[in-house]
Order: sequence, then structure tokens, then C-alpha cells
Amino acid sequence: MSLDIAAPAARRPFARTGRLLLEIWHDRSAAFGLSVIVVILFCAVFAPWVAPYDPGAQDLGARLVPPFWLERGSLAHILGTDHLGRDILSRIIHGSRASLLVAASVVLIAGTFGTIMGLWAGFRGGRTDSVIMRIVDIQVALPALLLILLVISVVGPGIATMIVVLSIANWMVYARLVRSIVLSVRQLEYIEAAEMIGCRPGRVVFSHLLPNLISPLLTLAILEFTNIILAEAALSFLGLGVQPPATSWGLDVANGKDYLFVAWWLVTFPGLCISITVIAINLLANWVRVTTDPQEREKRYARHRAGRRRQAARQPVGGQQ
Amino acid sequence: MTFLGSTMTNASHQGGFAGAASGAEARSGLESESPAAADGPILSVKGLGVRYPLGKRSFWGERTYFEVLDDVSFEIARGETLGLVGESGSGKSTIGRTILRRIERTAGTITFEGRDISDLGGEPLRKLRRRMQLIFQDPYSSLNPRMNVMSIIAEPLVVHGIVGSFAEARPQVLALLDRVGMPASAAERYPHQFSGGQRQRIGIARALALKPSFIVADEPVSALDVSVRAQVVNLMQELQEELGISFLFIAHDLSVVRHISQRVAILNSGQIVEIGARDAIYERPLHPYTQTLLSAVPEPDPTIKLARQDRKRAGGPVPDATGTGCRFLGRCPLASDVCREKKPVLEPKGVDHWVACWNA
Repeated sequence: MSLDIAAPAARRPFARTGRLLLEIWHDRSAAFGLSVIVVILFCAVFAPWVAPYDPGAQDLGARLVPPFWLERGSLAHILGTDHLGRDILSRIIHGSRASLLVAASVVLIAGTFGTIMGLWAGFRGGRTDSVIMRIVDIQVALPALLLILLVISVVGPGIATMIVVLSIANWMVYARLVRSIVLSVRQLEYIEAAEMIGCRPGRVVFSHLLPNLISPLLTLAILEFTNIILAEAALSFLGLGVQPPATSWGLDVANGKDYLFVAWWLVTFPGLCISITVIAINLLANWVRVTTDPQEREKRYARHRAGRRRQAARQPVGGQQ
Repeated sequence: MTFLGSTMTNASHQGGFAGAASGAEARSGLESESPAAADGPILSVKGLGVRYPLGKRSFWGERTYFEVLDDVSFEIARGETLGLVGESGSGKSTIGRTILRRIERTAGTITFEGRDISDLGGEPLRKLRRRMQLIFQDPYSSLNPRMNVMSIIAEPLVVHGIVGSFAEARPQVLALLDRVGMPASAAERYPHQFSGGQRQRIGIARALALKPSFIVADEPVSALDVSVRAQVVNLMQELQEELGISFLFIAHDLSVVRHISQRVAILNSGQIVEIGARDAIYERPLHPYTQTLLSAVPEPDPTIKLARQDRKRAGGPVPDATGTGCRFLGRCPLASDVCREKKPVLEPKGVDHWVACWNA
């Protein structure tokens, strides 16, 4: 008998994922975003097998070779080479590892911590609120770069250090945003209703307040994602982040800027990768935002249905005029 | 308060201001789960006061306060509806929220089912929610737009551990939906797919889920269309007759209150100016404020309408600067010297009819 109950419960998660994937498939831009993200992640994870060259291998005989479709370009280096003759495509593929790892971890850690602090401050109010927000104010007033330089010069550079340090320097944005939204959402009657029926504070915060934060938080996290990639580039450029011969998109952009007028491809391709990643995440995030809001989701479904009906009407089944 | 000590003149009435024991025999036919609390009123509020600080305290200066509620006392018997009427800002909702312990009182006691709940907090307060519930004014903002109706109504059952999970609550939710006149198909839908009246029914179902013995209805129909209003009011009346729930029915619509209440309290500037049996208040209003309020009800008969106009007085609420004297002073046609110096107190003026006015 226990099996009868357990079976559908065990099957359900897969059915749900399947339905969600189908829903993404119906939304063209979300499907595009998801596929781009999957491709980028695949390249990052399997970089040594995907990349045609070693990203650090120098070929001084083939310095500053342009992409293959230009004069002097060759199919040996599809996106050209840099000032030390290193293959740009291979560097981009390997560089995605550090960039994505740092950006995603920092957004996740700083976002989670900042959101929790913001929820706490906004929900408890009073003294808790004042103390947390004063800490935020003080930290915002301190130049982040100074703090980062200080920590890194003591601890030593490295990807893990960079993630921790950038998280410490970025959580305040989330705390401020979340607190201000919580303060306004708290006044809504359905939050009072939740307290009135006897929900414990934890439940009020996580099942009634938090869902209201999804869309602003997603927007902020995506903006921050780009910021972090660039911050990582700045740190790497100063020699405090990714250590050569390892590379990252940001480091390549920073290194290539001296050659901007001689060889534009040094900066353009890693920069393009940053943009494409952010756009892909944006498209997917937009879909997530709509999906988590029943009202928006219903509208999307209605649009989808209407589109199909119009298509069907355009192709009349024989005999009709 | 003086009127609390007054003996009850009508033994058959069930919600009077009986002294602690004198009116106990009067309420025999009423059923109750806990025999200890069965005798007394379900809710008794004594000397309730709420004040909000005004602005910031200067460095040494005293903080100034606005008295939202001043010495409010009343009782509600089991199965009774007390209508609470007053203009905007008179403190109607504050009374409701203070009883439900959402707003902290600054004076007085609240006794519910024979238990002093004035200082309840934490887990005991959370447990209290099973016994007393709230119906909200605005059916549009009081339902979480991200939850379906099923989860909204099942949530109280789940958070109080009455059912193990949302799925288990399904039969109870369907029964509740049926009780408030909603189809079972509503369970899977979201609040925005319903009209205001339907949403208010969902809100009522949520309040009923825990089988409370007392419900504060905070202007439950004022946000609804007139055509839907009657349906919701009738639903609440049915529920009361069936389930024996006591209501504190807050409204500014006098005709609705007359329809649903057994007793009525009139509130002005945080003070109860007149309280008593519904018919006494509506047929023979004694306080000048009550008379003004009743004369504001649209009257189709032109002769009565003309006669009424004499009683009307212009002007809005005047804040009481000195704190002494009657709060209705600025608008009162009967004002005299004593009103300026002494606060009026509720005094019996008839069978279950108390009025706070020196000149009524």
C-alpha cells in the first residue's frame, strides 16, 4: 500500500521538469537563452576537449593574426591570435571557466546573504533594521576596491579569494533593494492575513514576502553579473585575480585594450562573449519572472493559444472560401 | 467605567453589560465547547486605549500622543453580532485590530472566552488565531495573487497542523468552498480570476477554515458592488446562525449594520458614544452624533427627509486639543458648558441602551 502512495510522488518531479521544459520550448526567446547558456556551460566544463589549442601556448611567428575571414587570416586560428600568438578561440573557451565561476558564485553568495539581511531588516524593523542598514551604509561608504586590495594582499590572490572578497563587497545592493521592497509589501493585506491565520514568521517571510522579490531580484542579479565579470577583469588586470597562464574573459579584454586600434579582435571576441552570456541569462530570467507570476503566466498562455488559432485560420481546410 | 457596574434590566437579552455574575443565568440556551467559559460573554473589552505618538520627541520634551481609542468598553455575547459604526478615522478598524492583537493597546484589558488575552504573545497568540479570525475589507489585496484558492484556504489548516499537507486538506477546502457558495472548480484557480464578491467569499472561507468562535469583519462589504453586498451579508448571517459564530461587524454603512447586527455601538473619535440593542439605537437615537449619522442615510420619503435636515450640522471632526471635555463638542448642536469641562460617560437610558452625552 505504501508503494501506491510513493510511486506517483516519485514520478512527479520528472513530470514537472518535463512540463517546464515544454513550456520553455514554446517561448522562443527563452528557448534561445537556455540553449546559449547550455552551450557556454558545456564549453566551460569540457574546455580542454573543445578548445583547439592550449590557451597559454605562444606562437611568436603568428602574432596578431586576424580572424579567418579577413586578409591574412587563416582557418588555423578561426578568431585570430593575440599579441603573443595565442589562439583567441581557445582562450575564450578556457577563459569562460574563471569568468562564469566567479560571476555566478559571487551573484549567488552576495545575493543570498544580501537578501537574507534585507528580509531580516525589513521584516523585523526597529533596532534590527537600523543596525543592519547602518552596517550597509558604512560598507557602501568604504571604497570597495581598497577593501579588496587590502584583503587580497594579505591572503594572496586566487579564484576562491576573489569570490569571497567580491561577495563581501557586493551584498549591500541586495540588502537595500530587498529591504525597501519588504517595507512596502509588508503593508499589503495578504501579508497581514498570513499572520492572522497563524503563520510563523519564517513562513510569512519565505512563502509570502519572498515571491514578491523574484522579479526585482532577478533584474538586479543580472546587472550585477556583468558588473562582477568586469570587476573580476579589473582585479585580474591588476594581477590580483586570475593568475597567468590561466585566463578569463575580463582579463583578455583588459590585456587587449592596448591593441584596440591595431587588432580589434583581441577585445571584441571576449567582450562579445560577456554580452551574449548576459543576454542569454536575461532572456531566460524574463521567462522565469513570468512563470513565477500566475497572472503573467496565464496571459502568456493566452497569447500562445491566440497565435495558434490565427495560424490555423490562415490555412483553411479545403472547401472554405 | 461607570456603566459596567449597572445591573441589567432585561434578563432575556443576551449581550448586555452584565456585571461579572449577575447576567450569567440569562444566557442558558447557548452552546459552547468549554463549560468554564460558557457562562460569560465571548469577548469582553474593558477600558481599551490605543495611542500613537505624534511626530518626534524633542530632546527633553515630552512625546505627544494622538488618542486613537479612549476608554472603550463593550461585550459580545456568544452567537451575537455587534455592529460597530463610525466615520472614517474614528478608530473602528483599530478596535478590531487591537482585539486581534495586531495593534498594541496602551490601556485596558481584552478577555476572550474567559481568558485574559491582553498580553498574549508568541506561540499562545498564534494558537489563539484558531479561535478568532479576521475578514478583510479589500478582497483584492487580502488574497495572495501567487497562491491558488486551494492553498489560500488550506494554509490555516496546514500552519496549525490540523492537516499534514496541502494535499490532505483538499476535502476540507472543497467543503468550505461549497459552504460559501463557490464551485469546487474554484480550488485550482487564482484570485485574479474571480470577481470582488467571489474573492470575499474565498476570504470568508479562509477565515472559517479554523472553525473560529469569533470573527472580526472589518468592513467586509464596503469594497463590493451594491448588488453583491447583499449576497455576502446574507452569507455571513447564515454562517452565524448555522455555526454560532460571534461577529464584530465593522462598517460605515448603517443599513447593512441594521440588517446584520443584534446590537450596535456608535464610535466617534475613539470613544463609544452610544451602544445598545439595534432597535433602540435605530428607533430612538439619543446621542446627537448618532442622530446626525442616521440622518445621513438616504431617505426616500421627502417629508421625513425635510424634517431630518434640521438636525444636520456642517463640519468635520474637530481634534480634541485639551483632552478634557466631550470629543464631539465642535459639531454638537446641544453643546453646553459642562461638555467643555467634563468627558461624558456612558449612562443607561433605557432597556440595553447606553449613551455618553450630558444633554441627551
